[in-house]
Amino acid sequence: MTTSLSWNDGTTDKLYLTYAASEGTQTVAVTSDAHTGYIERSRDIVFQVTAGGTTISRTLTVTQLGKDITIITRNDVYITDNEVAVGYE
Amino acid sequence: MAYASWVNPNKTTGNGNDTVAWTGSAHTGRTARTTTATFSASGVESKTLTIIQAGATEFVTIDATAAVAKSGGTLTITGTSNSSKLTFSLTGTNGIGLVLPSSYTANSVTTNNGAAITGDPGAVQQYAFSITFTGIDENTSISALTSQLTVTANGSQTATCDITQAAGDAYLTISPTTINLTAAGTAVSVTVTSNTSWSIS
Repeated sequence: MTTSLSWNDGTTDKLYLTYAASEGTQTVAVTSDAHTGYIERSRDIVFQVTAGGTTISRTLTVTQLGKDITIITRNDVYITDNEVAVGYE
Repeated sequence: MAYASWVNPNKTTGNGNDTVAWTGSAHTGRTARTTTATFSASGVESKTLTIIQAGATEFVTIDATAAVAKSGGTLTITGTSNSSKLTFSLTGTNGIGLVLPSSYTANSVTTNNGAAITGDPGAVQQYAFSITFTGIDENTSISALTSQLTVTANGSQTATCDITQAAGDAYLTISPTTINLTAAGTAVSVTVTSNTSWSIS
């Protein structure tokens, strides 16, 4: 099964956690929509069990790196990969 | 000769014709027991009364229930019997994973499971016995576990003890606790270890 979670960063991008069943010990695959921004983003995912009146929580911090910034210099003008001038030298 | 202490007459003296009532304490041994009482009077020959008490039916009893801590450890189960031999076995589903000891204690004597008890103490009276399980594992599940111990006497009489081990504590770990995804979102694996169902939020 797959659980999707919002990145809570103002985008509609999702995090996806895929696992066999929500019981016992297993491996969870964490994936995400591609991040098109340049600033890394993070969110905490809480795993929780409740048994015998006791709740136990563990937090997984997921950080997704931002998109690489490609800088092209042309006539001393710095241009990002979307061709927006970002500075002069 | 004095009569045994397990009999008790309602009178020890009398005059002329009379009736003496004899009662006995409960006899728990398998075999009959005998004692004699002597009636004496001045100037006449003494008379002897032989008193025989029948043996008890062979039996075995054991603790009906027993509890093991969730942390495991040691468990001793006790009972009584008058049998010449006791045989222990684990019956039903052995959820606790008990390992049957090779010996137990009968009438304070270490006895191999299923072997004749030294001196056959049950022939004359009932005796206490105990069997001890050691090294019981911790219950790592969140459910109570059960096992059943059955003891069988030489005459095939049986008694059972239902053993319960308390439920263990829930646990949850994740590893690692921090991951980095590429901008493309390529999958990274996280191992979740738990003994119960978990949720994500």
